[in-house]
Amino acid sequence: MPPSTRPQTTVAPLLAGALALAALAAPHPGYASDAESAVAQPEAERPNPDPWEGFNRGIFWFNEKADIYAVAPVARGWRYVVPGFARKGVENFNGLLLMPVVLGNGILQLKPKNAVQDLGRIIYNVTFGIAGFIDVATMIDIPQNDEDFGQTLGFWGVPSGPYLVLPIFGPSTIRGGVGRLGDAAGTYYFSLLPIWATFLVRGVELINLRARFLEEVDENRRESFDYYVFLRDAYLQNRASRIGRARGEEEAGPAPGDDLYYFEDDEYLDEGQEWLEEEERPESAGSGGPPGAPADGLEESAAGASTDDE
Amino acid sequence: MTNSLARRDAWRRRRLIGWAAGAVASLAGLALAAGPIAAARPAPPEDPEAFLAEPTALVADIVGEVIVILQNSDLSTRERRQRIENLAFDVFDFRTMGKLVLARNWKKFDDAQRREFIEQFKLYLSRNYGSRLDRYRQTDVVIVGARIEPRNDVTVYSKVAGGEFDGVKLDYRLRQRSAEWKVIDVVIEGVSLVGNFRSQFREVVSQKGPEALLEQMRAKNARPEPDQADAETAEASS
Repeated sequence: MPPSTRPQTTVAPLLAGALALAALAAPHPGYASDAESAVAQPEAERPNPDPWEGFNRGIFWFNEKADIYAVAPVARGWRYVVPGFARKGVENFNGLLLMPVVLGNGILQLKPKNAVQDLGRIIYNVTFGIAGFIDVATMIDIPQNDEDFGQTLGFWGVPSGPYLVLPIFGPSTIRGGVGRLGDAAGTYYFSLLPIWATFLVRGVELINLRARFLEEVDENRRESFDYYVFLRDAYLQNRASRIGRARGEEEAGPAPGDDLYYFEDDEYLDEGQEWLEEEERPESAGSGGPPGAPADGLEESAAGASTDDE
Repeated sequence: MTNSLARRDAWRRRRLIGWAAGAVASLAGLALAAGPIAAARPAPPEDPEAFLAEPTALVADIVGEVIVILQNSDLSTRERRQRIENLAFDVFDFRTMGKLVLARNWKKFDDAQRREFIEQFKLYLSRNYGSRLDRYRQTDVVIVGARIEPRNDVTVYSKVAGGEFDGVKLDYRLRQRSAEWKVIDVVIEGVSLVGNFRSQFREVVSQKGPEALLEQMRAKNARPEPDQADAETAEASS
């Protein structure tokens, strides 16, 4: 209960700071909001989400080295030593530690129902969940809400600002960075602990989370065409969708703009349709194609088209 | 939202006016210009429930079949992957996906390059995601809803239940073409596959051209299969 009031009071000056930052970012009117600027505008009108790419790539490079040589190996060891149920327990515990943040931001986003759920979750998991290691709340269908101060800022219309890679924390935006500061206020109780304890808890949280994604990260690193762009895009899309949810676009997520799925410029649309129609007629498309790489591909896809239609 | 809608409308209006003026400034010219736009924006279905039933059932079927295959211990990893691939090749519309991935840059590809791009993209997806399948064996997927998108696409919403990725949101975007529903995008926790590849490919194509992208794709697809590479490194480290 007591932590719930803290984020609100400590957050007020931060909010003012964030608004000031928003004003700074205002000269780029394109950053209207995640939902709008990231997806819904025709491509040509969309501003570059990453004007500081050179700088960001530098930090990204540092983070990659830190991950490959320090964080990931420790996480690998952690997963080898700590059994799955215990890792899940640690995750539940860390989730509980963050609940004041979730609760505080639920209140800041005027969501009394969420706040009640969050309080219930805290009470059940602290007590029946043995200090949070067992997620009793989920078992009795209290949903885990997902709120943070970055989302609260988005909820109130603060623009995301340019993409920003933070050391160790990784992908973020200006707003996300400010959000992290706000959330630090929500876990203010950490400052009551000795500094090493804070580092221990945070360190274990990081390693435990990283241990869950060992293969995913390896594969994405290996398979992506540009891992920096892959991460940036995944982060921006994911944040846009969360902020859409924070604004109450439930289940729908942010309506991905038409331009992701259609070519707004009718020229492209027409051209594409012509191409498709042409391929609907397999005889004319692939017939008598001489051997050779391009013609081969042509024949194959024409065959694919005809089986598709059957 | 309304803001961007208004902007888009204004933009469309501008195009329309430009078009009409550029062509014959007559009623016939206007009608021609309006034609493709009207065709591209079909009227919303009269009975949304009935409209959603077919794509939702399709996704539920496919997801169900995939889970059955994943949990079938009588099959080898390779056989499981093969069967799931066959399902995927049937239900995904790779041509539309590839076109959406390239977006504006589609124009820069000639016909042969387009065909090769689609083939390489399909191969790439099958390698990239096929090799991961065995890790999701503990997973169930629950359909949680569906909605009609602009121009009558459908998004089917689902959630992962159980396993390491319990609670993760998985959305499927479907489009109907010649009466058949096909998946044109998968959105994981708000991250669209089409959107993500579009970002990755955009720079390559706009700076170095189509051939450079195709070359990169060929190189990626020519490497040994990821699961083989995994097996090799596992052997080496043990």
